[in-house]
Amino acid sequence: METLFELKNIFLYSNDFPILNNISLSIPAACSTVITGHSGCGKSTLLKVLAGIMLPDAGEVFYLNSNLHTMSEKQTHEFKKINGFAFQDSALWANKNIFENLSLPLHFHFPELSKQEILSKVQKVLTFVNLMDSMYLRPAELSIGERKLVSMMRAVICDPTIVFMDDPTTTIDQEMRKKILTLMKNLKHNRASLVMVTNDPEIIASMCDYLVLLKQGMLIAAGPFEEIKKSQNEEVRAILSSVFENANTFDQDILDLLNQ
Amino acid sequence: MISKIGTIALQRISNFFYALGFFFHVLKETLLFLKRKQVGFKVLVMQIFFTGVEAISIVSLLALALGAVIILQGLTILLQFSQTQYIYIILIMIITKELGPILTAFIIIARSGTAIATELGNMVVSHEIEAYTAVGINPVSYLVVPRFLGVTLSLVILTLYFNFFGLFASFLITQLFISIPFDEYFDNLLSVLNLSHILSSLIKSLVFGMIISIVSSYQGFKVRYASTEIPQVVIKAVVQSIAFCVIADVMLVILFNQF
Repeated sequence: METLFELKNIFLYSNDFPILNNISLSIPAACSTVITGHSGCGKSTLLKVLAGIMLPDAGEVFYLNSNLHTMSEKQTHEFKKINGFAFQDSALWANKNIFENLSLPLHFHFPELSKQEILSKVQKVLTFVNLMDSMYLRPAELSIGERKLVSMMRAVICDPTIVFMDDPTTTIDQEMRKKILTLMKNLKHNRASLVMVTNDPEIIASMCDYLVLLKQGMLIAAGPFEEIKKSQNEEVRAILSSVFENANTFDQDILDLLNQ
Repeated sequence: MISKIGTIALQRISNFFYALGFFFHVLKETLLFLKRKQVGFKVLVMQIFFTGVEAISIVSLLALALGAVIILQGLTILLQFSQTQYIYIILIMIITKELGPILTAFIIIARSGTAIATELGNMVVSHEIEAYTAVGINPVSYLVVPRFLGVTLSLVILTLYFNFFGLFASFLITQLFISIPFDEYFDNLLSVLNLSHILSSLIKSLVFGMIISIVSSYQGFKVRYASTEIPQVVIKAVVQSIAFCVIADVMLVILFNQF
């Protein structure tokens, strides 16, 4: 498998407390990578480091063999153009309405698009999540779940080939959750690389190709999901069993894990 | 104890160089702003509207009141010494050269400086800045540069307006108390006013505008985790903006007096 991202000895501190502690790993291209672990283990921070949103205090991040932090402005622009990021707390721009939130990435990356083309792209994604009536509302006028959906749509509106998702299915209802899963499957079908942070057993079971397990800022395991779920390592099994204990659908390996 | 003082000193030095780096980064991005045809042009228009247009009423009131007070107070004292002709030089010196730029700067600090620090601080807390970075939009280029240009440009124009309004409109107020012939007032005023007074006012307002926008943006970005940090950075933005504007004012006066 081609390596999409490679992290080398990543350290990131907050007030001298290590959030990420010596993380080195490779993320494969064109597959679904799930980063999981207990709350506060540094999953979201790791995702932001991979996306080039946060700078580590030490270490290097490589995207297709190019160092993410020493790329030229043009290379960075190209990298951002082909990736989208859906935030855990939506992070919509509060002083812009939903249309502006969705159209800004298009304006920025595709200045050649006409107003009509941008409008139709925005309408298309809003129709997908049943939010057409909210196009000219401000984020504060939407529910938390709706904001989450808009954030997801903002991440995919430029048809990215890499999509980062931070807890994509929390705070949304079952119907919308199905839509998000469909969207993820479509992205995967189109050979997009998905890198997501989640503890959702259904998403992990149905989407995960490559699993990264973190504990207190340290890497416990990283590898193909099929291999990791058969791992006999106690820490790995402890994390996985806590993630899957509320799952409704299991395969044999997960059942074995839970029956221990 | 000594190591603590050393740590604080090192931190201060590091903060100073970081702030200096931020200043030069803003300058660099400003030069590139027009070239890049950034999507931030709308932000610039909104900033000029907020800082310039919406501040006109308070600037007018202050300019009017200040001009009237100087004329009324000045004439009362100067009449006792039969030196009323000096009222014009006093007006120019106080309104155009000194209080015009600094008072307009104080108004902008109170209105726009606080707004910039609060808005950017809130954006940091709600991860909106990270969202810009995720999209690939440089927050300095998109958020700071339009504010830098908008505040600086607005302050220069507002200072010119303050001078004009303070010198001319206050004449109307004074007519309620002291009768000065219209021709005499304007002829005398224009005979005292020269290019150096206007230039001094413009240069000061330009420097003050740069200081206010940079300091307020810098402080806004210093928020890290919680909305409770926002009032603290707003206070810092106000205090530092006032302090740097006053220091710059003194330095510019010393510089102007050399020429």
